[in-house]
Amino acid sequence: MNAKSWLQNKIAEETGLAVDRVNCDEPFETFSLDSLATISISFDIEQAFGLEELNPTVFSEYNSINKLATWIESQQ
Amino acid sequence: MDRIAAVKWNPFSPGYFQNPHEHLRECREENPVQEVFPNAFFFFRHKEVSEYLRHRDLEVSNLSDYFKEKEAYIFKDSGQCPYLSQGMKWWPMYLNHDIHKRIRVAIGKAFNSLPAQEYIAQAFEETNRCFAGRENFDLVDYTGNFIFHIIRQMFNLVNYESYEKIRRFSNLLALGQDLYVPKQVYQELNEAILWGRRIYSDSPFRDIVLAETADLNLGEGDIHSLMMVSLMAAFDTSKDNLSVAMYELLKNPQVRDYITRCDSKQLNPVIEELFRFSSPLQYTIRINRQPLQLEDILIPENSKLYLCIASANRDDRVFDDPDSLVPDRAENPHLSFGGGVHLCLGAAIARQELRICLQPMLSFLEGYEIDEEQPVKFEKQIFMRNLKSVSLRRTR
Repeated sequence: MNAKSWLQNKIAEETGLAVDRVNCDEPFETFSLDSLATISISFDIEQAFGLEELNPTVFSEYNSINKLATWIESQQ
Repeated sequence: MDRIAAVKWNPFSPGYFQNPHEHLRECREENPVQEVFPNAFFFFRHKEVSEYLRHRDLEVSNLSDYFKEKEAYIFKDSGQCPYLSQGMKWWPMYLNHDIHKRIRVAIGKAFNSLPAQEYIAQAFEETNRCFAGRENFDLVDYTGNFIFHIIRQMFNLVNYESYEKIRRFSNLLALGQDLYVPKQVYQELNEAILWGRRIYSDSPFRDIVLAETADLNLGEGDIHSLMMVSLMAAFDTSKDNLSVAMYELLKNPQVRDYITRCDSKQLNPVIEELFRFSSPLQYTIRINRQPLQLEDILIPENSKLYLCIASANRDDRVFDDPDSLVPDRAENPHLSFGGGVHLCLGAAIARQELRICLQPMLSFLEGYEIDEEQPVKFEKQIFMRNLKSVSLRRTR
C-alpha cells in the first residue's frame, strides 16, 4: 500500500477537504487536526501498515504527509 | 522543571506497558514535575501526589463534558447513537461538590449492604471447581472468573451472556478513561454501553441506588450510568490488582511461602503491600481552579494535574527498597486507593477479597508455575495497568 496516498486520503476524510487540496508538504498543523483526530489516524496507521505501539508523537516528529509516509515505509 | 535533556514522560517508550516502573523512576528522579501537554502537569513524587489527592481546593475533571464536546467528531458518519456523555454522566470520580457526595453515598450504601463475604467465598469455590484439574490455564482468566462470580451475584447479572463479554465490557469502560484513546475505541465503547443496558435485572444493589437517588428524578439512562460505574469499579480494578498480585507472587516463592505461613494479623500488611506494589490505578487527574505555586513553578489556574500513583508508590523517599515486595513492611502510606473525598469506594471490598482468598488461592495455585515459553502480555493501557495474559502449567 502506498503510504503517501493512504495518508492523503485519510486526512481528506478527517478534515472534509478534497483529496487534491491536501498538500503533502504542508505541516500537519495547517489541517487543524486536534489530538483526538491524530490519535485516531495513528490507530488506523497501525492497522493498515501492521505497526505496533505507534507513538502518536510521530506526527510532530515527521510533520508532513511526505515525511510521515517515508517514515512509515522505512518501518515496514 | 523541563530542563534541557531531562527525561520526558512517554508511555510509548520501549517496554513501558510491560513494566512502567523504570521509566517512572527516571521521571521521578530527574524531572518530577513536567508540563507534558499545554496546561497538563505530571507529578511523580509521593509528596505532591499525596498532597494533591487530598487537597480540598482541587477538583476532578468532568469526562462526560469532554465526550459532549467530542461526540460530533467521534460519531461522524458512523451511524451510531452517541451515548458516551450520558453513559459517564453520573460517575462519581468525575463529579464535584454536593452531587458528588450524594452519588457517592448512594453507591457506597449499596456496596456496604451486600453480603460480600458470602459472595467472595461462593465465587472462590465456583472458580476453583471450574479450573481444578486443568493442565494449563491463564492466570488472568482464573482471577477474572473469580471476580466475575462476585459481581454476577452483586448485580444479579442474569442476561450476562458470558465472562468474556463482561470482561470486554468492563475493560472498555476502563479504557474509555485512558489517555491516547482513538475514536475507533470510543465507538466500540459506545456500542458496549448500549449493549450493557440489557445485562442487569432487579437486585438489592440497584434498589438501594434507586432509593438513595429517588429525589434526583433519575431516568433509566442515569441509573444505567450508575450501575456501569459500579460494575467497572468492582470488576476491572479488582481483577487488575489480583492478577498482577498473583503474577508477582508466582515469581517470588519466598514471599509466597511467607504468606502461606502467616496468621490473620500478619496478613493485613501483606495485603497493603500488594496494593502498593501492583497499583492498579496508575494515574488520576485533578484540576486547580486557582493558580498553584509549587517551589519555583507556577501552575496556571484550570490546569490538569496528572498524579502518578504508580510512581508515588515506588518513591524511595517514603518506601525502603520500593521495588521489592516486602510482606511485613511496617509503614505503608501507599496511595493505591487515591485519597481525600474521592477515596476509592471499593477499597473495603478489595481488601476483603484478598483477606478471604489470598491464602487459599495461593494454595490452589501451588501445583502450577508460569509457562516461560508463552509471553506475558499487558494491555496497552496507561491509567489502569491491565495484565492481559499469563499462561500457567501444572508442575505435578
